[in-house]
Amino acid sequence: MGLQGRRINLDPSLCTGCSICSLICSFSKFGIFSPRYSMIRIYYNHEFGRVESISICRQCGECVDRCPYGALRWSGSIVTVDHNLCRGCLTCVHTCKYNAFSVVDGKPYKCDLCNGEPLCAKYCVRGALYAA
Amino acid sequence: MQPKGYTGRILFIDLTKQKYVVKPLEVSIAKQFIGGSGLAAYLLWNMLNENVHPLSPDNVLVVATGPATGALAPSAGRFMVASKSPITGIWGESHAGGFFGPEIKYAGYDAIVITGRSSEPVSLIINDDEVTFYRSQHLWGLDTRTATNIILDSLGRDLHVMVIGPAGENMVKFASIMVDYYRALGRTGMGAVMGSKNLKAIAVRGSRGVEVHNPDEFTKVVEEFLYINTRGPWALPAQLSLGKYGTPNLVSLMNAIGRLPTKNHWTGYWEHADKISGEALLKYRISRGSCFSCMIMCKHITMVGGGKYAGTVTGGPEYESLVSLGSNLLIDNAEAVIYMNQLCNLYGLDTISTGKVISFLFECYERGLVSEEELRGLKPTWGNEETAIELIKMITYRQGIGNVLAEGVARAARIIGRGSEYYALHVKGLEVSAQDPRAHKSVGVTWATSVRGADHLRSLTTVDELGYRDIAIERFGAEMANEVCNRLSEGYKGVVVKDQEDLFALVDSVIMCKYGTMWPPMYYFDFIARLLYPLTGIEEFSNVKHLREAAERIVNLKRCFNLREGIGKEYETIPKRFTSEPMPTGPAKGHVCNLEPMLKEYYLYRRWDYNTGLPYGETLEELGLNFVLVELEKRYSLPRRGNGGSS
Repeated sequence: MGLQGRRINLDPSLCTGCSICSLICSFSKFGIFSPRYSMIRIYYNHEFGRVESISICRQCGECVDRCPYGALRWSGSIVTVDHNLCRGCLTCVHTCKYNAFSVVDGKPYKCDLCNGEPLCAKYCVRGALYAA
Repeated sequence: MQPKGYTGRILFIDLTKQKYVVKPLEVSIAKQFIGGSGLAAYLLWNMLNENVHPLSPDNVLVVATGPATGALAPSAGRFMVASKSPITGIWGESHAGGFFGPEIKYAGYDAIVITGRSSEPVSLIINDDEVTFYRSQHLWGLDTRTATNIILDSLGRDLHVMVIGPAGENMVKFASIMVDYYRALGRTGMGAVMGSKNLKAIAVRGSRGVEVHNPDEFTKVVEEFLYINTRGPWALPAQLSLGKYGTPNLVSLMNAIGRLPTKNHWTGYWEHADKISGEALLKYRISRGSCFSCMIMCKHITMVGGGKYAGTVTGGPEYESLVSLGSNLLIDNAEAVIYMNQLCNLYGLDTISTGKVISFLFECYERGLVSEEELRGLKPTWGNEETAIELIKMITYRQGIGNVLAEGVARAARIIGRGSEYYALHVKGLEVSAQDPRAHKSVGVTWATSVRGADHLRSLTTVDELGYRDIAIERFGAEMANEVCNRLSEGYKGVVVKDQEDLFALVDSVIMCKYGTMWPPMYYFDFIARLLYPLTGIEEFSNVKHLREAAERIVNLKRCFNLREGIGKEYETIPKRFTSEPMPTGPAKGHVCNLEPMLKEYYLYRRWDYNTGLPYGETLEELGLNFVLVELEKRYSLPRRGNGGSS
């Protein structure tokens, strides 16, 4: 798929804060709509209309080294979670510099680039999100 | 089976006792009234009666969401509040976008029902199942922005807040509620109802999500939503107008068809319109924003960087505000209009009503109907921005003549007297919105029959306004299309308005935005049916006929709410200016609005009696509104189609 080094990027000047990326993410992963379940969270300042910060995995791999149970691993250039091995210690969540994990029912979840076709980028009609 | 989409829970809050209780939302009610506006109508019909004063503790404030709220559906961030309106004394409702509505759903409620009155200023902090009555003496008197910031900074930035400003606290009859800084629940004075309950703000945070009945089917709906907005026929027009300019784009369009209210609706054409047009406002834009789950994205933030009004930062101004505070007052300084828009937002005033009461005073002054003594040195002359700004402050704090204007234009005219009633432009007490029935005939019947007064959001039609022939053929048939598409003709406008009112009743209950349904006309009943069934799993919702019937039921219920208050056909008219004063200038020059034939047609299609304005008994029975019929018959003898009905 040619996914080497790919991750989700945001151009904050194009983002309008509509939350559609978070909605499609939580829907595709958990079948429900809730930005808090999403693996991409954009913190938007509605007073001045600016992106304040963004929580999204940069596929840096720091969590892979720290996981005591080997549940996080590289698949190509993407870090994935094996929930069969995960015991819910959440070391990865505390390790992550980018606040990229979301925790659902005690288990960590993270961006896996939707098997190469990230839905958040597809649904971003402004083109603020892109995989590169 | 519990339907999805809904949370199935309604939160009842008693401010007097500072107690709350959660009750289930019955499935049969959801089927009949859908949610949002329909659900609020059902709740208010049962909880209120004609003796309740709008500003008394007995009045009920409903904050409602619909089944689509919080999901990935077109503009599904919207929610509504409803109550008995302090400005009209009848049905009051107001809708807003932003991010507050979904948060209510995520906290686990379809609606919040607020009764009673707190003995001291209080705010409601709702955290999933936990409701806190938060003492708010420190927030009382603050403007909406400061109050929002204090709540967010002290209780968490991930809360979403709706708050009133000083106008709501002082119970200005057209006070608004501000949501997420710049989204306004503007019309019908819902802010005054909150103020009367000593309720400063509601803040919500929810950790749940909206579940879907059939995720696979719903994925198709979501794909269709994306397709319509990126590759559909309306995608590019929507982005080039609403997307690029927001609603201010309408200023030049409306001026071109002679429908831009100017000088207290004296005419519909203004030679300086380009100074407050979408193009003129572009240079003040600092951000392009959007509401929750919206692909049109028409919400912009504006800043004035220099000059007299430097430092003004505000959402909008939207078309209605630009007209009410700009062309309507002959103020051609865009910076002044942006500043006035900010003032209204901070004080919590409805920009439409504020502009119209100020223009009313300007016109009274021009015609010598108010004395210098009453004005205490004010110079309310056309185009005088300093006076307009001063008046906004005086209305908010009820000082001098502002105290009279704060009662709304209908009561103000009654207080001032001397024939000023002619210049008080309102229907059923609500100030007219920024349309003109002389240049767009169907607006006449829209205003006259709208359940909350002169209002553009219950049934304003764009098929005739912009002449969409294809859509006219699709919805009304080829025979009617030519007449329907002519905005300067009265032909078939009763039917068109009835159809649009049904659509909007549904849209307001689902809840979606008027952008996407009013303009561009992307979604109609069939799309809503395709959306609602996989979302909720309620089989009836897949049937367009059922949805149309539900929409009619909601329209009838709200009308019966007004009938119970004694507001019937005699109030269903429009100000004389539009029926007897021919348009003096512009493209629609010479036109007046001939209301009666349209009204007659509208009543016919609504299955209401034209002579009395009452619904036929059979109409209510067919819609399953027997409980309404029983109560109305205590007051009226409802006509039957068999005896005396003309249809």
